[in-house]
Amino acid sequence: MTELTLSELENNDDFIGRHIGPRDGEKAAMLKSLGYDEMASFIADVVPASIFEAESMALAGAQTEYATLARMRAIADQNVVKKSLIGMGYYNTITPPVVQRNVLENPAWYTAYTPYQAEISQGRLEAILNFQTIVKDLTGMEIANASLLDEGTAAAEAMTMAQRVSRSKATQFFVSESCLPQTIAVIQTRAKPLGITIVVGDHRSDLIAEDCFGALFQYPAVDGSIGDFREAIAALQANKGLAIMATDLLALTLLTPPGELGADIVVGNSQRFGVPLGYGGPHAAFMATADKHKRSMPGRLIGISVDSAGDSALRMALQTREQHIRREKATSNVCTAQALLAVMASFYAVFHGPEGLKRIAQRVHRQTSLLAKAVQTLGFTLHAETFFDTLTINTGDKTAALHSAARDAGFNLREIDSSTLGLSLDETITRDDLCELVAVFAQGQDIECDLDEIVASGLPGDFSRTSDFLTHPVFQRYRSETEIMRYMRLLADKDLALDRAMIPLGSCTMKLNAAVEMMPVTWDSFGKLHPFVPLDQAQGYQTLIKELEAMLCVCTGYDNVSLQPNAGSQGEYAGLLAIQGYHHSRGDDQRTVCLIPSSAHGTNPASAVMAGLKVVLVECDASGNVDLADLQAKCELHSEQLSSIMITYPSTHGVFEEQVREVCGMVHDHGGQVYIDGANMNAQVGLCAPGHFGGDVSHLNLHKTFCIPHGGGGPGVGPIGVLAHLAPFLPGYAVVDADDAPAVTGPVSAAPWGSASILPITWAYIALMGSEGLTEATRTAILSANYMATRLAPHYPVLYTGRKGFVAHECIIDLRGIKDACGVTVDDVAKRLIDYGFHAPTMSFPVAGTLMIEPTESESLQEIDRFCDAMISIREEIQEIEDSKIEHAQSALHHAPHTLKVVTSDTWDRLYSREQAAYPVPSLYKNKYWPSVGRVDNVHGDRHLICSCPPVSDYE
Amino acid sequence: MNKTLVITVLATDRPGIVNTLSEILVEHNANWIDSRMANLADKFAGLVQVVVPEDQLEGLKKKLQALHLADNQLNILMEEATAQDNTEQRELSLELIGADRPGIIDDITSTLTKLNVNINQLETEQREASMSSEILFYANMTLGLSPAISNDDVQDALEALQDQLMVDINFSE
Ligand SMILES: Cc1ncc(COP(=O)(O)O)c(C=O)c1O
Repeated sequence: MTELTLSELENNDDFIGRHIGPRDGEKAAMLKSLGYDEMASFIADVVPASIFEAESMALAGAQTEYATLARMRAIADQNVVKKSLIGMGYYNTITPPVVQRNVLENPAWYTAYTPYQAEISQGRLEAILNFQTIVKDLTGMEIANASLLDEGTAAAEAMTMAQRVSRSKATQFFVSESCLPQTIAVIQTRAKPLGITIVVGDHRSDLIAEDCFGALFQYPAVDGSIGDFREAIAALQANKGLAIMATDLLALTLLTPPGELGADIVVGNSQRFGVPLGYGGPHAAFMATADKHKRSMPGRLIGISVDSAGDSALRMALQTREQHIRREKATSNVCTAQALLAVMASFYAVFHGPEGLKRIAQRVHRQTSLLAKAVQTLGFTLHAETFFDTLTINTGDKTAALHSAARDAGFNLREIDSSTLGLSLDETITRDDLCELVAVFAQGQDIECDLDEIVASGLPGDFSRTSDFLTHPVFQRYRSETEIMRYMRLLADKDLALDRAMIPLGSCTMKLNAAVEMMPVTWDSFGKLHPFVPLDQAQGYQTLIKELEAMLCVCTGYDNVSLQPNAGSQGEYAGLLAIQGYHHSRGDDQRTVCLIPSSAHGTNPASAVMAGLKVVLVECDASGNVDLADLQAKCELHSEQLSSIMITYPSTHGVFEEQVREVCGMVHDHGGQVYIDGANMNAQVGLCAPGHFGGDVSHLNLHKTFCIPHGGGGPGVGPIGVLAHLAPFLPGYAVVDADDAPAVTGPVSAAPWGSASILPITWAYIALMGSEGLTEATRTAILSANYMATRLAPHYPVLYTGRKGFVAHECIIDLRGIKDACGVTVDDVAKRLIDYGFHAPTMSFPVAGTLMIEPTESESLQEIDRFCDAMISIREEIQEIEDSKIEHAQSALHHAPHTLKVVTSDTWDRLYSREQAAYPVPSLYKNKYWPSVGRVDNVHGDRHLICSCPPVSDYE
Repeated sequence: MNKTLVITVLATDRPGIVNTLSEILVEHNANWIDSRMANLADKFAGLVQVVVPEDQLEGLKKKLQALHLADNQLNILMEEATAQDNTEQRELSLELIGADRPGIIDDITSTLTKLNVNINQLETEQREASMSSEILFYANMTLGLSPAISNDDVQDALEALQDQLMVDINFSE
């Protein structure tokens, strides 16, 4: 036996083989099937030589899971966890352990994809429908969406929605000065390129209703007061303007809901429903509105429809509003939202029920009232008479001393100015906390307080809530832990996530989200930091952020990175703002044309419009590449006005375009900047770098290439990398003063570092894999896609290929010929795949009538083969229809997917057997997924739109 | 005096249909004013508005009729337009998107008819939606509105249909 060295025995590369699916021998076999003996020559034939990076990335070597966690722990320990009573829209909360363990830490929930495939998503659709019901009930509105990215962007979305809906011609938008400062900052950023004038002031004296198409009020306000906005709302509406209220769900259990005060749109953050602070995110923001405005509402919306058997089934409704269909005319660029966090918030409400929520609110309010009395007894005055959980206290020259005493006692208070401070209480506050807070303010004075005294309430009597909420049985039924645990399991079992099978969604990169990467997310030292704590308490985060920025610079070839954008769409928007900031700085204000290839993702044109740009389409040629002649013509035509081009690399067609350098060069020659959409970065890391081959700015989807799980439709992180000349124009920070904060462009998210608490996932992935591991992941992703394309090509035409007939990391198969020949649609194939136990590939993007398949490096050869076998078997079923052995309308394809109820029914009049319906390949006997509903009827859903929990009878 | 004639042509598609037609028109000094043509499921369909001198009208009609009778793959219909004064009308161009279903065009057109709106042009298409692949209905239309009808009236009426149509006004005069 040969003895190994200690270095070999330590096996620091161990994780690489955990992340990458195919074993070395399998990779060799896959290469062989493509005609290669070794990986390097294969990759050299796929990746254009003109952009190939011969040098390996300057990153540390791979680390074991154990070592990575230890290093992460050391970083986390640099954070100082105090109880932050800073408020401003972020509050401490208690994540019910049953929710933490069964949802947040459960891959059945966090590895799911956005529920476009309704039949395999009924569990999370139900949880999100519950979320919509909670928001609708608490706000008193008619319809609520399923999450936006944060309260600041939700308010900004509400502003642009108000402009769309309002029949007023005014161009001003009024923002109450008592709104959250980060909200005001995000709105100002958003308004500027759209030519909207923001007026910030006191709604009682400064609002000139006839000049405004809308106005935003905060209820309760940032200083804690509960204002009366009824007159302002009426005045606005009399002038065709819309009234928007930003609010707090917990407060609304006690306060008259905005819907009853006349609000047209309501926004807010659901964070305090059990979602950790996480230094700013991710949390699910919400928007609710009147039914008549639903078409203009941004974001995803879950609705009820029926399935092929006529049973109730859920689906994503009114998708015609969204960017993937309406592109530059979309209501918003929002794509990935905050689904997992919305699900957590919904279970928090299911767990507590209406009485429980009210009790929490009353407790917080009582504590606040007791504290208000105590500080007044101590001689301080309050800034406002009304309050729910937040006090603004006039502390005069004692302010600094009070802050420092509070900090010593373990609390952060809100720093307002040198003579005023603020504090917000929350459900984590104990009796002891309250006594300590009183002691902080007493500063040695003696004070008696009876904590069980029923003190005067700070809630204004005429705003106390009288209407019921959460009356649906779902908010009563699951009060015992046994029941709620089983409810969560029941819902999770309806869904198909990565914990069951591969999810071969092209453009989505559904790779492994390793447990080790997820673990730090639930550490208190990351979870309990308020986004606005003093920087010296967040040194762990700051270290992590700096290191991650540097890692991402190396991976992309850019000079600077901003981690602020909360999703790819927000990264696109931030990147375009950086480009426009750069043009403006050079006096090129006229550069407002953005070239976008016709194959672009819908978020691209939608983001361009938000950045104030005019979209000009560039055609693709017959092989799917940017048509250079058309590009040349458009560049010349718009030379003076050319702002930028937005391309995706490898293209959305899944091909490494050979001429990408030429494309970038042409645009640069005409003074334009190049935005490279980095959604397909999984084909590039370690092999080529957009910052080196012509990009000026790119966003990355950390929830694709860099292992943040999709969470059933979010969270995501969409950082942007830029070359140095754009660095000054990266998004600035709201509220937080940091020396290195960029100062030209305003913030695009409420929190300076966006969804900070999930950044450890990406940091860990890069640390675990090291330079070589990351590059091998990329190579394997490309190998697997080509292996798959080659296996499928004899059965389905592969639409686009690059040099030597290879695809990049995904491939498009064309079903249009099949549809013309026998009527079988993309939908039929997608739904039939469910019977085979798979989530369908991406449907009809970027080309209608096609499927786009992306295996990722994480899927084993066995799983890839299982998928190919399923596709080939489906092709045989199609052949039977083509050969007229069975009619399309009679076929298993047409009736797919098959539920257990259908297959076991006493009546079976189909022309194919039950076995063919449910077990078309033998491997299914060992492992069978049953969809909980049959094919969902989309038309019915939109024609009978219901977007909150169904009538009670459905539950009995 | 000139007369306005509207001609429709429905034929199995083959090269030369339009050319044959235009040659006949030239022979009769007819002026080709406006047309719409489409190729649907291998059929060619054309709708042509021509202005023809009154003394040529009968000749032109006969010639077209003869063409129609000579070829059973070529159907031609024609009708003289009664002069209608549309000067009072203004144009509104709209785009609609919604989930496709049988009868949707009928519901849209009858809604517009109830409003007394002229449909000057209507193009529709079915497309598979990206991501969900549901079948969407796209329509592009130009409407003639009498002064009593506002853009908002049209939008409100279309949005009142159960289909949750997305209505975009592209331009209005
Ligand atoms: C090519 C491309 N660009 C942009 C996006 C938008 O990213 P996000 O969903 O994170 O907003 C996506 C993903 O959905 C994409 O595939």
